[in-house]
Amino acid sequence: MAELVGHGFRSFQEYALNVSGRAAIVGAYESPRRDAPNVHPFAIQVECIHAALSQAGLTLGEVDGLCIASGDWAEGGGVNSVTEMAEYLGIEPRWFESTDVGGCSYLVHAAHAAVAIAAGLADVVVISYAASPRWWPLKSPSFDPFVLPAGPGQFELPFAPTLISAYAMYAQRHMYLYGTTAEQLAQVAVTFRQHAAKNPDAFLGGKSITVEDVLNSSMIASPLHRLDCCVVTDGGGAIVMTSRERAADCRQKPVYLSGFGMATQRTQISQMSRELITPAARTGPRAFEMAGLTPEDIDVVQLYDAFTITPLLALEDLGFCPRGESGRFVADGHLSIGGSLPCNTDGGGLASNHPGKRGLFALIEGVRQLRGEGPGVQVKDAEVALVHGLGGTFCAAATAILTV
Amino acid sequence: MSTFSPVITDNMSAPWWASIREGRLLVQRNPVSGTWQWYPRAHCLDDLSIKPEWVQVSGLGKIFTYSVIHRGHTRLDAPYVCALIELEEGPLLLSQLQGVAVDKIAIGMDVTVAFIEMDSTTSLPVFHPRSHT
Repeated sequence: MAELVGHGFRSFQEYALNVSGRAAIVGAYESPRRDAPNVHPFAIQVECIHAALSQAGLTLGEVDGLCIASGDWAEGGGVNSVTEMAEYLGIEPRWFESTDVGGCSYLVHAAHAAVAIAAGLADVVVISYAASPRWWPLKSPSFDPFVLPAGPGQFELPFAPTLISAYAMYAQRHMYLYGTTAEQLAQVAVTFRQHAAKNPDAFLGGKSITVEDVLNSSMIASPLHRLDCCVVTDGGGAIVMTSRERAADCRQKPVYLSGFGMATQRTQISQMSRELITPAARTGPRAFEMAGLTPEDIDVVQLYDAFTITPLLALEDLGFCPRGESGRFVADGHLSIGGSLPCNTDGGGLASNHPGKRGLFALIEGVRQLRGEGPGVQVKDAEVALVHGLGGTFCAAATAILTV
Repeated sequence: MSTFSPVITDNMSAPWWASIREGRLLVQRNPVSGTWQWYPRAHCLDDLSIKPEWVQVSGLGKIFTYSVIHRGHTRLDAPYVCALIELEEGPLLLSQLQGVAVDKIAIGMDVTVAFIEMDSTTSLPVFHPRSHT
């Protein structure tokens, strides 16, 4: 980091701390839509952007930064170029960002937006996403939505792995190595369903389930049952970020981005870590170091839960429990609202909503918890939230630490 | 089995696909360091300046992990089994497990390669349980 030292920073940590807390989230809105027949995702995005700006007391004319995940495959029409969305909104942002590393893209956007704001490249940044997989008529272009049967993918796609089977192979190995049980995996879904019961917007909030219900649901890709899988809903959301200074004048209580970390690890299943380590093992320490905090400081967590195995590996990699202990950690009730680490307080992707890339909703729920506005269960007086997202099948990850 | 995904091969991968058609499983190795690598690339992961060599491997390995796929976005008739095979030489390779009842599969099980026809020009390496005689 010699180049930074030359600019007056004595270490990377000092440089990172210079970004820590410099930007704030002043608008965070999640659409209550779960089933939006024939509503194009762009329309949902604009609804959410309008609502998030209104929370902040800002107008579209003040937005000079726009973040849109722009991948090359469509899941529920949820992919669009940043130029197309800017055009649809009717703005010409001077700073924009279109990283698409799957479901955690929006956490990456928030991190990059914080850097841009700290550097003076943008003043008001909008991060937005919506998709409508429940009615969207176009199929994704290949069997596996992340990989083409060319280049590296030519050695895997012929064997027809499904997206869920990639997660399932992590789960199967975790059970073999650590004695994790199907009941412990099921407890993840049961816990988040309990949180969803209090959230009027949650897709499955009205239907309570038991561990037995999960185990009796049909097998999708062993060892994962149907109720080990997230819901498929339509939906969208938006975040508005600005500088700490400007946030003081906004209508909403600011929530500061105190730390973040991001990493990519692999795409092909064959490149899986033999120790089942996911990129969270890199993103967590980076985020904690920047924020100057440790796992013990966290009041509430939002962990991406596309499948029940997903938050289990995050708990281990982020340092909330020892390696191999996540199944027992969940079974002991730590993730419940009354536990030591309340998690997915809105019901998460397993029970509230999941149009395809849920990281934005996890970030929104992290913000709502720190504002005391959780629509599901609310952690009393929460002051520090950790939000962790992953992309693909543990291919990429990003962690954000929020404070008030 | 119904339809397998078509593949787009290239000049780097052509020798591999040709060898599979002949019933030989090749894996790349750095000829200097001896480091194995899977999947095939045009470079060595441990030294960008060295071209990897193709080496025929034993085709023996163990199941590292697996999933029995019952439903999903697939053209194949379910259920079928995708598995990560830990080759005797070290690399992990994604393939299918065939010729075994799904309730008999276990991580650590010894397997051996077999070659199946995907279409009139292309074959695939799959794995079967190894019989101990």
